[in-house]
Amino acid sequence: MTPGASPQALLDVRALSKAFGGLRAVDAVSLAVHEGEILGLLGPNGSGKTTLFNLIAGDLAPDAGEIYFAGRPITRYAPSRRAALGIVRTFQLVRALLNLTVLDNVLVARLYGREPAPSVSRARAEARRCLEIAGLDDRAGRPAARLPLADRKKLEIARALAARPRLLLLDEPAAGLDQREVDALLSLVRGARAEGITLMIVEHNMRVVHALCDRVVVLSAGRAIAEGTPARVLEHAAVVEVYLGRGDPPVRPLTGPR
Amino acid sequence: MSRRLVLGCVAAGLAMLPVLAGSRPVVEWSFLVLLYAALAQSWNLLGGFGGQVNLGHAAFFGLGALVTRRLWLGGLPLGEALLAGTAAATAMGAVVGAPSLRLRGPYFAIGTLAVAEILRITVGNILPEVSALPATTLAAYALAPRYYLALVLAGAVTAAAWWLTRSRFGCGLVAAREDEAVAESIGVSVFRHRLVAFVLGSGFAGIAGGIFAYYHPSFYPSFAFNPLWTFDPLVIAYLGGAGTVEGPWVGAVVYLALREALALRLGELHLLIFGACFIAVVVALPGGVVQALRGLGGRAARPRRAAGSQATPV
Amino acid sequence: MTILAQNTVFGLLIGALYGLAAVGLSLVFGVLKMLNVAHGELIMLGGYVTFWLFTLWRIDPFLSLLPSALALFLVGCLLYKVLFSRLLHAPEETKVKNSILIGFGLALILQTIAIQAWTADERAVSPGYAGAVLAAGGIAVPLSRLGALAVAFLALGGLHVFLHRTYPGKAIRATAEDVEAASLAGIPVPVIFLAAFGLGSALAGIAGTLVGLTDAVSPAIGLGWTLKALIVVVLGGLGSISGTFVAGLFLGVAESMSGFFLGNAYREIVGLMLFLLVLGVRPQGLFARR
Ligand SMILES: Nc1ncnc2c1ncn2[C@@H]1O[C@H](COP(=O)(O)OP(=O)(O)O)[C@@H](O)[C@H]1O
Ligand SMILES: [Mg+2]
Repeated sequence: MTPGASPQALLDVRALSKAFGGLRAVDAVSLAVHEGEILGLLGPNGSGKTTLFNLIAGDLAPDAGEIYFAGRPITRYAPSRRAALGIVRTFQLVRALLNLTVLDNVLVARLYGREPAPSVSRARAEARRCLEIAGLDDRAGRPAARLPLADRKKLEIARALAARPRLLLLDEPAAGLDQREVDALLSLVRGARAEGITLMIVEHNMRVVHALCDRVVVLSAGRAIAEGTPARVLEHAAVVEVYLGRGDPPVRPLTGPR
Repeated sequence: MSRRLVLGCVAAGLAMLPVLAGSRPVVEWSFLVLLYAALAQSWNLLGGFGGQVNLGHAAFFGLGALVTRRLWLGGLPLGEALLAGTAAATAMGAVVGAPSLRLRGPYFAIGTLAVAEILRITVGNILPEVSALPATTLAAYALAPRYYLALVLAGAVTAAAWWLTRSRFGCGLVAAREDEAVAESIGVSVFRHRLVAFVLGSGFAGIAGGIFAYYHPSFYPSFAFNPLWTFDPLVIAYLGGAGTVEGPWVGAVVYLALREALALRLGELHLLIFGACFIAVVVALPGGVVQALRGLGGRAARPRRAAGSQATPV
Repeated sequence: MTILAQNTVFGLLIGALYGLAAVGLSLVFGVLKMLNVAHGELIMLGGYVTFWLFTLWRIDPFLSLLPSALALFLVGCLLYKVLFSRLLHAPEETKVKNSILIGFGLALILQTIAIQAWTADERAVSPGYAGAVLAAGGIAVPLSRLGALAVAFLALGGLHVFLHRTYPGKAIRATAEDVEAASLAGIPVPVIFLAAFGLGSALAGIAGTLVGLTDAVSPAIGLGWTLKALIVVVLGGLGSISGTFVAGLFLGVAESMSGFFLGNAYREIVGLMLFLLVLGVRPQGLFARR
């Protein structure tokens, strides 16, 4: 197979595997994400979704397999180098530069990432814009450590967007949000897509999945077991089986491994 | 604006000091404040803004001193000797930093400690004789040029620290200190930033060593590698406030004043007090004096600007 | 040929001490994820225990092993309670960093106290067998160093049995492996932490006694031993106890050989080179199992 096998694929993951001790967290997963689409990644807790994100973003090195981004092999790139190419992720257990202000958190991303701002003052102005879009502008001067969870989740996305991604990886962005906050999230993600950003979203909230995803891939025990439109896949017998044993809808405990 | 005014007055005062101060001990003490402030500030570039503990700053100070002294006494003009000393310290910084900063955990602290101690022992073995200035040099010895060199250096390192608080690079360095994974995820190469800050700090420490070599009439070459050249800047940085621009200055004044006062009364025992102070600051007051003062100043003290002005809970 | 053999033997003799010095440090790091850079000062204190017991009451250094280990165990527990336990709840990177900083201050304090209490002079013990030498096949080995080697092996063997065969030892290993799982399994983690720090310090005490027996003690020796221990710990692989001891022997022989080939002034440089090389090429350690 040549990298050009699916010429329009922005991200091409080939037979990617990662084991922790004896546990195969990601087991020979192959998938492609096309420019402009929103791909949902589903699966019960512990099925390897976050690990797959870690592999794509470069926070973990795979045991086997290859990753291509825009036709370029990036399997051995450091996360920062991937971010500079346009792969940016958010964290399931939200993280931030806690001692810095909300604005500074986003400012750093605007200074690095893809297409960094040419000067600090320009970056600051653009970072303010990012905060406005995410609905955080009134919190700009606060230390990130003092934000409530919902705002921290917004900050995750604002920071990621400030890095001007081509491919944005969102890990359970709706978890812990209420109805109104989920609506805000939906419009934020739609706005990102309208700007041409391609997305991969791990999400248990089926409303979010149905509202956003063009296509979903289902992981179970580290393997990709189904793929298709959300409506089709969620009827798929194997998928129902995976989920039924776990109660419906599957809810991620707050203190799970990331 | 009032800040600028204060800054200008301090700078002018420092520049005029050798002319105005009647007594040599005052100039001598001020020279030491400048040297220690510069050394602590050079440690602060990575240690404070980057949050990585360098336990071997003495190595770079010592290398700068050793190379500068030997070349200068060997007949090279002072400027070139200083340059060579700086280059040696910078190169050593790269050699130690490149493998050890790549790894997480205590490797960097161990590596820097190792390089300092091993150089100290080796230099002591190879060059056991005291290095004294020849009589002709001593006859022409004047404190003022030493003082001004130290002033320029302290100003330059402080400018570098100030640059960290308002530049892209400084933002990246602080981001890496706060959370490596987040920093990497938005495109900050944690390793590269730390390495650059470290090599820069090593180079500045090398110049400080070179100035010390130009200043001191007679010392054992291995003395410039003494672990106290690491310990003092560390204490000063923490005392004043690691990761702040003012911290090393405040720390140097407080430290040298205390040392003067305590050493007179307590002799060696003052080291014990400094050790205890240091631990207390690390455990209880990670922001140092600068932050404690800011805390008193209340809300107004909240750092408005970039990243770097925040104190470092290491 | 005999000279090479002689050098190897000397390297092993000193290397066993490096290994013993490093094992305590490695144990503490493995369990607590803290790096006590005042470990060498604990070794120094152990040396003084032996020196004073011998000087005041003619107690043989080998007999002072126990009181030295005990005294340092208590000192370790105290230091842990007063200082290091404050870091328990910090995130891992902060824990490593701040433990290093605390240890750094502590080293200065202990060294100053030792100078005040016992002067900066070098002290050595001279039991009746001090000069005795065992010669075989052209290789001469000082008897006291041989004894030190035997004690180092015994201490490490004992540690191994303790960690692998006894309940408290297994609890320590379980805690090093995974604190949360250990805690869920009902292991009293706070006690284990205290015990591990005390045990690591006791090992420093034993090492100190052997240093007092085979070498001289002075308040300034701490940093040198910390350094050797740190290098050995990295060569052996952070947290790996058996790897640490092998690395100690390795460093001893490497130093001894380079002292022979390059001259004694340069023997220390080898440790630094090895250290940087290992970091660049094999950071998990030369002898780590994993
Ligand atoms: N760093 C790690 N070390 C060991 N096991 C891990 C690590 N990260 C994840 N795992 C394990 O890998 C499996 C997949 O985890 P994860 O990718 O977080 O699943 P998901 O995000 O789908 O809930 C889980 O069993 C988890 O316990
Ligand atoms: Mg997950």
